[in-house]
Amino acid sequence: MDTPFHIDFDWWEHQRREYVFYMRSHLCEEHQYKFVSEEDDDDQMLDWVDSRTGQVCRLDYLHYTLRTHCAIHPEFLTKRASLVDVIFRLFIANGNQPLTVTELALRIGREGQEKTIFRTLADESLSKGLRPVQSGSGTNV
Amino acid sequence: MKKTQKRVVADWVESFCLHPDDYDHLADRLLESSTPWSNEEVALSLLIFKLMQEERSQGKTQRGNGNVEIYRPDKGYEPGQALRFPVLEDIEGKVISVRKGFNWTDGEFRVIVVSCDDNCTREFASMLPKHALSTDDLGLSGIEGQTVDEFARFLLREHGTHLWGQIKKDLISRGEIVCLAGYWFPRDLLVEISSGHLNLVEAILDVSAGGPLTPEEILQQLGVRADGDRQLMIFSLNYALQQDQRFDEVGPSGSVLWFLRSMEPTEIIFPPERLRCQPVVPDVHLLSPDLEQLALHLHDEFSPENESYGAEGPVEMVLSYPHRCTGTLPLGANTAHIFPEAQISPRIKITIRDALSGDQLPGWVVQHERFVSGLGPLYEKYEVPAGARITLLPCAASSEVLVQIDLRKSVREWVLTASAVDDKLRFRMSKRLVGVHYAEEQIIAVDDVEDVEAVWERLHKNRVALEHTVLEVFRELVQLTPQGAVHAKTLYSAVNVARRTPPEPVFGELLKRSYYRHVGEAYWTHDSDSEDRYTD
Repeated sequence: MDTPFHIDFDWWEHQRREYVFYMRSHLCEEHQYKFVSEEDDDDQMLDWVDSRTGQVCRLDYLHYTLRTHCAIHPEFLTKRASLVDVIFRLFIANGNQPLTVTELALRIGREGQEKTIFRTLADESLSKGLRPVQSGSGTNV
Repeated sequence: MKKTQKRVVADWVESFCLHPDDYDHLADRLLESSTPWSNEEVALSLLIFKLMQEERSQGKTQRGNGNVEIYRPDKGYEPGQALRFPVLEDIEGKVISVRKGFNWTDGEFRVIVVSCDDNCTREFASMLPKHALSTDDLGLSGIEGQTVDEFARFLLREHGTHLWGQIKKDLISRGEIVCLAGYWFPRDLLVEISSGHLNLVEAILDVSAGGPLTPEEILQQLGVRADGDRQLMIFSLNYALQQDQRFDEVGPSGSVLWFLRSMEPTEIIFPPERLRCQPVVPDVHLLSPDLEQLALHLHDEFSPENESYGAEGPVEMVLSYPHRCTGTLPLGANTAHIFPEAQISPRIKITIRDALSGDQLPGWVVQHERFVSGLGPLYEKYEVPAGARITLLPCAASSEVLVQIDLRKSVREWVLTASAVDDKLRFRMSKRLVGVHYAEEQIIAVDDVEDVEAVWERLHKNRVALEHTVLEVFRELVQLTPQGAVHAKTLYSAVNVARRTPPEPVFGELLKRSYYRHVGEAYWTHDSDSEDRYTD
């Protein structure tokens, strides 16, 4: 329960199409219209600056949009979605800062369901890149 | 100053307090100067010290330890530079490369790639002007171009009350640096004044009729040479006298005067019971506008202070019976500017000058009990009755007051007269020779002071209720006019023969009790059918 998890974007590297499709599914209504085709500026990389630490992450256009616009809306985390989707969105909103299962349960209002959360994350077919943090990773994307 | 900076300064001021190295700094500076410092000098020195400490701390923050600089997103860095990241648990690293950065919000900036001590490589923003980590904490420059000294003075001007209050509190609680008459010096560095010297001081004051004498005069008479700093010698003497119960500091604000306590008049040490009174709490007695105005014009020293009262220049007042009896004057809001005041000394020695003869009399301002003593001889000399008009004038010297009894040609007139019959207070009209101008509604002559005072004492000892006293006096007064009406001012003056009372409670009785009836202007009558009978 104390193992920190985050979105391992390396995991998504080998599944580009699925990544784009999945990330788009989390866009707000406004940006759903803007991203009308897969080719729309998806390859552009932007430097996202952490407002607390000054640390920089390079994000693709889609991810940058999610983090700086869609994720700040209140309904981003409250809208009905699967457990995995909710956890994924939580990491998008918090800048992919690692969180333990216990912390995740608290943040998404599912205290007492830590075991369910852990089982979901452990099932790789369901996890959507939500993996335990590997040591030596210097960048939190 | 920017809004955010104002907030930071306000927070700094709010959390201001002295730490051990602040005391050490002040003690060192005082030792170097060997001279007591004033409140302002102490405050400035401490503020400048703390601001410079803050500046050093920020510089250290920016420069890091040794060659390691603290990371700030608005700064530019080159490869090879060592940086520290306080917000990442003080991790350190070295810049290995710099590249261009871009996003839609911040536009163009730089990104430094840092190899950190935890074997991780991280990227950080650089040359990014707007970021939380880029703010200047206290803004020691304050207003642009100010030196630390100027900023310290600015802080004292804008936040002096709070800052000085905290400094004074911290210094006093520490106790190592002592204060006297607004000057400060380390106690351990004071010149020793021996018990032999103190005995000599007692003798010097005794020979001078108790005093008052300045510390300079005392030193001169002691024949003590002020080797070294004279100011320190005076401070040390003052401190030693302050610690000794034989001596009383009786100077007004800004000056120090010493008096022998054993030679102070009795009424100073034990204020007369005749004058003892509770101050009126504002808004307790709900008076009508007319009665409120009347009370205001009586200028009783225990009435609520009128905040808008900005008295200056001569003051004409009407002498009340209690003050006539004790040879005193009231110290109220309307006369406060005439007399000197002191922040700490409860008693201040003054000189009363008779405006008519030029004679000088010793007087005392007793601040807490709100009276000025020493007028007895003047009242006797001019046969001043209660109700007489007296004018007070300030003098050039702050410790002198000019008292002018408003004399006129003596004429026999019908005046209200108090006496004691069968141990009760009685009032009647009698013809008296009056040689001073007086307030018609407030003049009261007294037949036998001793008997009247005995009645006062009995009423005081038995704690007779105000309601009863007012009613008894009213009944006496109402018989004396053809119309059967009593002026409110007359009632107030007469009640004060029986007990010391401000006008508000007396006028409050008129409104509260159904047996008093207002008949117009300031006149009241009394309906005997609706009152309850009281017995003493």
